[in-house]
Amino acid sequence: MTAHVMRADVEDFVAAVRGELQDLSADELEELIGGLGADLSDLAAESEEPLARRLGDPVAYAAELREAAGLPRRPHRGRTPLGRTVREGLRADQAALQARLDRAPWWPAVSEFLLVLRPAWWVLRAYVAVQLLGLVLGSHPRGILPNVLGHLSGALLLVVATVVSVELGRGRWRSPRRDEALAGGNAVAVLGLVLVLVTSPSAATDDVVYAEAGYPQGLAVDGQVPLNIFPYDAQGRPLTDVQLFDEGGRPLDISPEARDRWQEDGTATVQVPAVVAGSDQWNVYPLRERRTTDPYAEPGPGDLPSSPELPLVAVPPVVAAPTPAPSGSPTAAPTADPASPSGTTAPTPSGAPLQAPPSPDAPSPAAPSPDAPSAPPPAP
Amino acid sequence: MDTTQLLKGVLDAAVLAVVAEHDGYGYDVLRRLRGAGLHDVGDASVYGTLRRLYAAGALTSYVVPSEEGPHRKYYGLNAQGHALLREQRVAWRSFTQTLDDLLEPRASATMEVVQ
Repeated sequence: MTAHVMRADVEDFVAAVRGELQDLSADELEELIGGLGADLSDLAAESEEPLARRLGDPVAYAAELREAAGLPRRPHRGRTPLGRTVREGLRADQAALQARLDRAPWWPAVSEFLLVLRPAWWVLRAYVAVQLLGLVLGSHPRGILPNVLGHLSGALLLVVATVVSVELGRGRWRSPRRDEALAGGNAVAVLGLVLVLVTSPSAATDDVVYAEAGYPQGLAVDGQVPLNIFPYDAQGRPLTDVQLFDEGGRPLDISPEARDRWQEDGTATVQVPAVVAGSDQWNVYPLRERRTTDPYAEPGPGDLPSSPELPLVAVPPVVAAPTPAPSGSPTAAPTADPASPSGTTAPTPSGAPLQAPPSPDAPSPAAPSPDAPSAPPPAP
Repeated sequence: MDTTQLLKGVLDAAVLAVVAEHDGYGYDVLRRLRGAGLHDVGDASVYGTLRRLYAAGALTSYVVPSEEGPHRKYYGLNAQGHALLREQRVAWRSFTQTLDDLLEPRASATMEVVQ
């Protein structure tokens, strides 16, 4: 029809108007907008004002065109009355806002500026969309490149999304329904942008499981998890079956991270808790251990736990501090009650009757006598 | 008074009058209407009116090819269109006369207070 190429914005507008008039016959359509491109080009050439602002919403333009031409209004296919009311309400709000802005003296300058930034927004919304997709799929944002099940797929998706976003911005694949979807998508992208900005500072820190928990569970010293505790008595001899509690009576359980550990040779070291009053307790030290290839299997008859190697054969004896007067100070020998909270430096090794599993290289400390010293495990 | 509402009623007549002067295409008619003082007229309304008048049989249309520019669809008045324009002129005169009389300030006490 036309010999020369129309300006892009005119073309976009005409395409949008045509989209709104899809229900008309080809003849009617041609009648109505056959000359529209040329006429709008003239109109656009009239002034510097951007075409989109002068002509307004192409949907409204198409509706006005219809009405003036005496054609029936566009049938709303399958849309609910509620949806229509909402849509019309939104359009009215938009029109009202537009009118308010048009009255502001600063609006022309600002809107010119914003129009120049439009392509930047197209790129940004593609980035946000890909980041959102990554978050939804559970990939943690790490650094600048989006992470969608991997950085490579994230980068590829970003390229595709950018192209799609820019083409949509330029008016390709346009139809009124898609325009509404696009407006909704833009709103989501704005919200997503806020979300991404909020989550990104935390993305800079490395996601070691350690850091995410905030602090390790169970016993920890300066952030490090001890794998076992080796108590020694006042004479410097190693103790066994020592039950440890804190000032609140809470058992000082070994950290769960220490209870099953993989070794370099492919075997696992599994700690075996002591049984106190019928239940497993993890605060009885030093914890016995066993090596196995399958930590999840039930221990067989041959899988006996052994006492771990002592880190120190002996330690210097404690020089006893002068004991205070006996009035009121809890220096009584530990009772057989495992829940006793008072920790003492009793010279005799504590030995509440325990059902410790038999260890093959030490005599079983099954003697109920509270004064029986436990045999020290063989020195390395 | 909201001129857009007023315009809707008389746009047919205005368009017919402009095209009667000499044939024109959409944008041309629009410009002439605006130049005559109808600044608020919407271009979509003008294009739609042209199409409606054509469909009603009051206008003829023909395409003028052009080398350097786009092809233009021109509209012109036919006999039926001229007749319609005459009717509209008469109707308009009668209507404005009636309204002038109605809007003329009446000499009465209540009206003076209002003014």
